[in-house]
Amino acid sequence: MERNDNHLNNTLSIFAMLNFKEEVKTTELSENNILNIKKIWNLALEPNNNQKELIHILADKDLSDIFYKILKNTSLFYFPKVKAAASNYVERISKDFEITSFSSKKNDQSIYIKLKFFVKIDKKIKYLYVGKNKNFLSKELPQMINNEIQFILDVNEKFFISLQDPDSEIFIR
Amino acid sequence: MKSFTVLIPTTQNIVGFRDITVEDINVSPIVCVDNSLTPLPISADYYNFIKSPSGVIQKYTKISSYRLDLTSSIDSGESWQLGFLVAHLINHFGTLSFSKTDQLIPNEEESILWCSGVINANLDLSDVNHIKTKLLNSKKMFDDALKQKKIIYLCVSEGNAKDVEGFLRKYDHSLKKNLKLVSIKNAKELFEIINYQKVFFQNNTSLKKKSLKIFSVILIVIIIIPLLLFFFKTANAFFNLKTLRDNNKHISLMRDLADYRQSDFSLKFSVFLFDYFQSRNHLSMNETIKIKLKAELLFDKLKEKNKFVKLSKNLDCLNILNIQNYKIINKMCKTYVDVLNVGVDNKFVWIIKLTDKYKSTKKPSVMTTYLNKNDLITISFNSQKDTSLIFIFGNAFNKNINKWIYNLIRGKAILSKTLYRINALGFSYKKLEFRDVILIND
Repeated sequence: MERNDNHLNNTLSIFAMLNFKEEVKTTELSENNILNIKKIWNLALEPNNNQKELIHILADKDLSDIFYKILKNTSLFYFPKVKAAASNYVERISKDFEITSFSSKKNDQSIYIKLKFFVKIDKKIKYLYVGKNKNFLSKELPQMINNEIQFILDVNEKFFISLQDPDSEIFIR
Repeated sequence: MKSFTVLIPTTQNIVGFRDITVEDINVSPIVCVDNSLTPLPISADYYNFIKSPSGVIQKYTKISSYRLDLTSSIDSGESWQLGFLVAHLINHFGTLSFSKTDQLIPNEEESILWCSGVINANLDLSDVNHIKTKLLNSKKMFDDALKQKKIIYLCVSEGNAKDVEGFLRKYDHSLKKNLKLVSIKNAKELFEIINYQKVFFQNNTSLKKKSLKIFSVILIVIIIIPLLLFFFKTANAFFNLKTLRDNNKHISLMRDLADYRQSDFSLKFSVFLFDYFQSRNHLSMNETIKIKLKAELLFDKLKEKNKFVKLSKNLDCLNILNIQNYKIINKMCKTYVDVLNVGVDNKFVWIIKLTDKYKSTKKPSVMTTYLNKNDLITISFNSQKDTSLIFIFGNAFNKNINKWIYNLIRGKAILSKTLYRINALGFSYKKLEFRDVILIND
């Protein structure tokens, strides 16, 4: 897990990378829509804005690497892939925060996902992203109470399945 | 216990309780509508309402995590608090009748608690806004419930009660019987009205009282029993000493006193008590024997030295000076000691004149006599030969004391120890010591 506090340095390094990549990689999506690195940058900042472009970027290995790199560096909290066997629950713990899941006693098809932060957070946390290659999902987070965020998922929901996957990267911002 | 359905009026509609589930302790309390996966915006307030120390529910149910499902949404405000409290506490005993989305009042349920109020940590109730709107929104539900002859308790604060009273005036007298206004200052009053006070709030206090009783019993066992054992042992030893004294078994008495002084605290304490009561006895007996000093001029000696007698104030033998605990008498005066029995009983008295063996060859002497009530004896005393005058007195003659006194005057016993023994046997004494002093007149 990494916590990205130094946004200025991260942003500068990303721009240097983008300038280099922009000339190398441009792809024509349609007649009127050309995908370039600037669009990847914008999409990484607002992944929910254009799902069509996002799908296209994630389909390309180089572009998806850039997308995930930008996402990682612009997130407040990041969990890399973990070397663990898949399980029915989610449990990723670091020194700054943890993600855990609890099965509902009311309905075993419902799962409580709890994000617990151990550091002081100044900014409002809005989204939780889960990504693995082409699969990229986002979840708008509810209000934080006592440095904890809790939401409910269905066990068959894709987002929960992705969260369970140890190969998924997790981004919070 | 009687079951109830709890309903919460909002400005839009009436909300019922669909389900209350106790969740994993790590799950934060959450409010949803009808089993949905999306928490309501009031979930944050609900979290603070449940969890201690801010919340009240955990305080009473000892449960910190619930999932609450309502029949419809409550988006904002705090007037749900009274209804939520009542529903959680009644549900804790399994007597809450849950509503359905399309049927707020279950067919089998007879009693409905219509609650609107804001509560604090002490369960004091505050007024809420829009109570008239809430009543109007509930009118259809009231009418339906009254047709089914269900009893509806309208639970509000005292400040909101006037609006509810005004609303109830519109109903017929016959219907009013089933529409009951419950105007309360504190939510506990509501639990008294629906007969839950004993099982809930008093349960805690009775548990505390029981704990206090158990604690008291343990305290008694820990403190009182050893204390009783201590007092038993002390009393036993004390009465043993007293019996020995009364039976005049002085050898056993002295041996036991010495042994007890070297033993544990209870026996030491018994010796302390014995000495204390002996000293009290000593003082009371001393008060019955009054000793008075008096002095007279030796006219024979004066005649030898002077042709006439000139009496000055300083030479006046009748003038005995009292300085602190001492009495000062002119050496040229002859000293007498008056001994008077002012007590009710007769006394036997030993009078011992002790001498300074370095100054005088005169041996100590003993005189004995009975003193009846108000009897007075006068003893002359030569301060140049005698050093001390000791009066030992008791209710009767005692051969042991007699023996100890003769041992003393023969120099076979120490005065202090002899006096202690005498005291231990329940006899008393008074001691007068005489010293030569030079009185300087400026």
